[in-house]
Amino acid sequence: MNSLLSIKDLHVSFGLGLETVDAVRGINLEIARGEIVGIVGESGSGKSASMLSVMRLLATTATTRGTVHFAGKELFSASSKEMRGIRGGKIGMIFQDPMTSLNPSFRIGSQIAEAIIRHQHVSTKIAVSKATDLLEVVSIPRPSESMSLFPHEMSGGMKQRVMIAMAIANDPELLIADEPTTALDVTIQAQILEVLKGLRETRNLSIVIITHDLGVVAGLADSVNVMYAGEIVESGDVEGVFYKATHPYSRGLLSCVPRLDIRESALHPIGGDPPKLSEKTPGCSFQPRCKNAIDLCETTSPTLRSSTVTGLKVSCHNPMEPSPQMSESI
Amino acid sequence: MAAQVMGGPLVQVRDLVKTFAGRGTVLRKSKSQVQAVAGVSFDVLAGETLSIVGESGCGKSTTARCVTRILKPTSGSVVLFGTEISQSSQETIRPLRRQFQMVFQDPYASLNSTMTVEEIISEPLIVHGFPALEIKERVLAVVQQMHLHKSDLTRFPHQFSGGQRQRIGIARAVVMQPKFVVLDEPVSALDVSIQADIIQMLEGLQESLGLAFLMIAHDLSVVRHVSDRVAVMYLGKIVEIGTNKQIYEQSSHPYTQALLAAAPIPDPRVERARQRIILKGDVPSPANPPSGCRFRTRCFKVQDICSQVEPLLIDPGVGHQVACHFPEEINLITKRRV
Repeated sequence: MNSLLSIKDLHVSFGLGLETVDAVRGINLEIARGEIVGIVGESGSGKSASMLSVMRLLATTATTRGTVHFAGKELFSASSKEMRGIRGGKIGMIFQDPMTSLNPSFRIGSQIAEAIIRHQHVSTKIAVSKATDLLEVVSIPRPSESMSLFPHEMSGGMKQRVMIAMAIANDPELLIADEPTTALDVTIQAQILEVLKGLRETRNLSIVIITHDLGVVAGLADSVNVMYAGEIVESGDVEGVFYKATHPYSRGLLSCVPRLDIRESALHPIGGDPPKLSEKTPGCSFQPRCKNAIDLCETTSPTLRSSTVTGLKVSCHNPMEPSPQMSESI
Repeated sequence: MAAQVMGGPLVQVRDLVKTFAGRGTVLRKSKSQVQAVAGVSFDVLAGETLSIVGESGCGKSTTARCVTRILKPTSGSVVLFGTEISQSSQETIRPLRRQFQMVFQDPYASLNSTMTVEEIISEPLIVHGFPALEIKERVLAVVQQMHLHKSDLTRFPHQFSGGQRQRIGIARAVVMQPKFVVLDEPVSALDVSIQADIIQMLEGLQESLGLAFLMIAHDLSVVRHVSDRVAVMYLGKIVEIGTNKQIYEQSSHPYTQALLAAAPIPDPRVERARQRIILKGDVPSPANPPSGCRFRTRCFKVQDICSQVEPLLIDPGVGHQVACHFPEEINLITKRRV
């Protein structure tokens, strides 16, 4: 398998006083070149923590275990210097809040140029001209004039474009986008998603998109991983996950969101709250909220396995039947 | 009173304008003014849900705040339960406040962290001078209704999850047994599995108490699910208003259509086959709105007349109204890519 990024048995925990919070609990993930992979889950499910750990950007209170291979190189054993070359070089990253990710006291042009000079060791003149081209790539109007704007002079959508320009400035192979459109309005979100789709097409860029918005994943991703309480509970190609999911949490997630195109009479809330990650339970972490739970779920934690029925990987002792209603549309 | 319940509007807003002073300095007052709400009219009927949707800065929250008189409107009229309150003093409005309440977006910021749940929920009753015994009864009843536990009453907000806190916020609003509740983005700070929970609870309350809701929201899928009628705002004006079906299936304003086309649908085949309208650029600054139609700078149908003549909503009542020179009904949700 020719995967660009390969994550094996990744664990992330944070020490909080006497407690340890196990934010990521053994995930495996493969990302191919040119593939767009979605990670969906709710707050605290470990989706951001897992990707930040890949970039080795977590606070020092975090401990990580497992291996991450990027283009054949193991990242957890790489030196700090090597990591500096990879961050913003071969792997670009954009965050949820473009308002706080840019330095307010520098013009955006110089911030992008700085990223280019740092990695490509070119002259300021070349870096500035490259930066201007990048603004064009992310569809910022009047690129050369926009170079001299300060972040506060731009709207949220424009700032997120600047962040994307910066993230792709050094021709990365992988872009990690952590909730890139959550802070943006829906018409601006649509513009940013078009930019991301375009980048995959023109540059064969691999993209990991972290989001809680199932609609964004449905339109953008090739494959989807559903995370709950630090684990991947179901994963597979996008249509498989949306139409054939059998994990009670994935199904719950899909049926609790109201849809724009259908006016349903009732919603189906999952009920209960996500578990505290500082508490270790022997069984499945979704069991207390699960309608399909059996005795085994209380005592033994399920592992992610390929399902012969759906072709997806699912981590559940008692998966649901694939929904006839959902598979109808296939 | 009976006449209102029979179907007259509970809330009548006409030509509402709210202007904020622009940013100045200590020594020099700014001359620029920002018109956040630029002449908005609508009714809210007893027992219905009217939602106002639009993007950040369109004036939807300011409208809600003027209706509940958290803000004083610059001009225009706000009639609640037959009483004109747009320029009244807070003392005059206070007795009326029993009948209208507000639920806020951020359940972390809208609850006083030093008060127990019991204190939070009973405070409005104390302010309005209810007897102690009735306060106790009402608080207990509402706590049960919101699926909270009696033992939760002695706990503090930080001991609850976001969804539970929002239920406390709703309990504080409905404990007054109001007729009209303004919901300002009531679920947008919550995780999706919790959103469904709160939405169901609000629907249940509406049914059992006969509440009318004015909901401010940006999530068009949630709005479709809960609303009887929907108003779409852009740069301080309502550009289209109508019933749920009229807005979602028969929208005629290009902005409504663009919003609907941009909102993602969690279904890969449907989502990838839909026709997209990608609007150009950003919302212009409300300090300096475009001449004529305010949407014309981003509109895909713009003509010369749009910069010269402002299109008007004709009847601000309860019919389907569109402020556009070139309205054309399209169902943008189901329209497939050609």
